[in-house]
Amino acid sequence: MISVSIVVDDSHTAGIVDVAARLRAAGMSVENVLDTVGIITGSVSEQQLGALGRVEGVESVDRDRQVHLPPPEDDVQ
Amino acid sequence: MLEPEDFASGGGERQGNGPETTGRFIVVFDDDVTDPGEVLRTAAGLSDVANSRDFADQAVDPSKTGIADATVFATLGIAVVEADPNQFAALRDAAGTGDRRIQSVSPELVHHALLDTAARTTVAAPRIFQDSTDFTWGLQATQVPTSGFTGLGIKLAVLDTGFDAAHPDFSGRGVTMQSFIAGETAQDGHGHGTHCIGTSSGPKSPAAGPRYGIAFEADILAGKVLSNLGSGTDGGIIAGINWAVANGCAIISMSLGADVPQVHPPYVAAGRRALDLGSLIIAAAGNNADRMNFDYGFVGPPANSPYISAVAALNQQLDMAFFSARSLPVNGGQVDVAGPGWQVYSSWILPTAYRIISGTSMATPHVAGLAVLWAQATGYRGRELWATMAQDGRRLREPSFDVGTGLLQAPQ
Repeated sequence: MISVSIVVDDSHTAGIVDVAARLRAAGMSVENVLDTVGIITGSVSEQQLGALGRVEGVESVDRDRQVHLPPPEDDVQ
Repeated sequence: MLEPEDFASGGGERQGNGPETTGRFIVVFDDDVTDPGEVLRTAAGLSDVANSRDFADQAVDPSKTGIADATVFATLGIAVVEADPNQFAALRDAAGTGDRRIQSVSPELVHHALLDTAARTTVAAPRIFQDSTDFTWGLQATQVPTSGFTGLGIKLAVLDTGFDAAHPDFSGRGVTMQSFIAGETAQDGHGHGTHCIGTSSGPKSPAAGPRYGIAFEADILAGKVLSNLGSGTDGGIIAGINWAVANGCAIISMSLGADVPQVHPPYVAAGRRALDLGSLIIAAAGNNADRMNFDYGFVGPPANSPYISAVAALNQQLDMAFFSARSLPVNGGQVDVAGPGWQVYSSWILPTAYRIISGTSMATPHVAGLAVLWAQATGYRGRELWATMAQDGRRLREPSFDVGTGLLQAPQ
């Protein structure tokens, strides 16, 4: 499974719950519906990833990135 | 305050190296004055007053105001006044004493097209800041010691590795803590988050050492979006942003980022919607430069969102820290401001308690803490807050693609 962040377009943020339902129907496992910033996070299989971008109300689909801090003992953080 | 000599120096002549004046005066009225002409009549006996409202589109035609004593620019609350010495004295006295209708009276200056400014570019060499027994160098360089603002009433979110709730410098502070890392509480097991919270909002009087915290009365929300091993994902970071915005944080400090030279759409949307709701996100430009080897790096996400402020790191001479990333040449990729980010003393998880480390991660909470002070001082939020504090930044000799509008300063 691939972790993804879905940006809901401005005209659909008020109906973000409906967008989340359509994403589930398209095969996404929805983890968080973040209604204040209008973003839905979760995961999806490689095969079903492409379908998410065609769901009504979806502005963008991006694979999650990782961020890493240096170990605590490093002088530059 | 004008002195009588100011009036005497009028008359269209340049006096020594002083400014060239016309002999007329500029009167600025208080914001509440609705009839400036009436003020000029009652304060100085000026009767023949032209008003910009009497001209089409308020475009005052100087050929038609030449014989008037004064021309009032109603929209600006300003008048140009031809006054004799007695009338000038009356206006000046009104401005200097009890008459609150008049804010100021100044000689009208002659302006010229600017053709040669080469002689004006000299900038004083910066002093070298250092930690004192009372204040860290970063607080001195940003004029925190003389600011009367404390962050009282302003909510600040720090999205990082959490916070050491047992640290004695924060006893009684009531820090709100929330973890977005599965299987970990918001207690800081790394140290980075406790260091950033210390700089942005640590106490006025720490248990030991110099003062290192800026907004010492801010309400702190510590969101854990990076694990005890220092790693996190977009999903957790965006959940943290959502939580901070929903809880009314004016400032969100994020000392984190990915070293990739692309803008990441979720941070564009999150940053814009946060700004619309009055929350300003401030993020580290990144430590991916190696300037000693002529590698200048780039601003990565989330700081390269057009709606998130990117912070560069300076050393004690206000030169670039060697690791501090340069602007990425795309919309949003600019470095916006700079903050102290070299050898920064702040709180650390117990039992260490205090540590000196470097990074754009350390410059970011300086800027976030200062932004909290600006939010308190001005009442502004979002874009208005961002513009106001950036405009006030101390300009530096370093290029703008490295330091943006310069070293942010505390409001005084």
